[in-house]
Amino acid sequence: MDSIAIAITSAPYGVEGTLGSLYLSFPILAKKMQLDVLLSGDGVFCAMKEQMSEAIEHPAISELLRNAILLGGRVYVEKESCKKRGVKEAELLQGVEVVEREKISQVLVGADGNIVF
Amino acid sequence: MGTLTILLTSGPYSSRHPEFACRIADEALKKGHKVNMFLYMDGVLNAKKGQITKDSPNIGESLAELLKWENFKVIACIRSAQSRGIARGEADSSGSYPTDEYVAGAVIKSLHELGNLLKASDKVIALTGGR
Repeated sequence: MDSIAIAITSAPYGVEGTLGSLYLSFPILAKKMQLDVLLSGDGVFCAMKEQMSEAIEHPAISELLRNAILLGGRVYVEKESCKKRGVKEAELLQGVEVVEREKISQVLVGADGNIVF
Repeated sequence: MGTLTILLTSGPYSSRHPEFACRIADEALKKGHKVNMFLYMDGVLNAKKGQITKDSPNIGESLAELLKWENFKVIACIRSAQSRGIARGEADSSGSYPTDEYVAGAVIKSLHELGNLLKASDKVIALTGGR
């Protein structure tokens, strides 16, 4: 298997699944597999920059995403989910790509394996 | 013969995902495939021994039965296991962490083991969520 798409639909803090799903990125990238992270629904909040999670003693989800991008991962944020939640593109991390819903489906179909949280 | 990796994140009785995971593994093994089951987050609770159930399939016993197959592996994530009090101490030379809480054959390793399993797999089935 050479490529994995991880889809995240949950908000950055409050559920273990969001953190857990991003931790999966690093063993995948370490094995030189292509990684695509898809953020949809409340998952789009994961890509907001300037998250300050020290107060809740939680790793910053935005930092994990930033590291995944630096290591070669691609991060796609669903445009419609952003619009519904009032999230503007300028508020998102550098390196993420805001895409239409169709692109999310195409990435999922194109990957060898899908992991949906 | 192919290789299947099942990622399981829910605990043994909060959903039917663990039961499905065992059924899928059983069918794949009977068809001659290799199967890895990676336990993550609450999923690490599935391999605990001593589970007592009256009204539902016993997941610990199901895993113990499946582990009699040579081509079946159960690996749990160390971070998830430590945070739930299942693993203690340091890894041995094979990268396995000690526990006396698991059914025989189930092991605890680094999350990086999942990367190795996925790279070597033909298919992944992720049973996540499941509340």
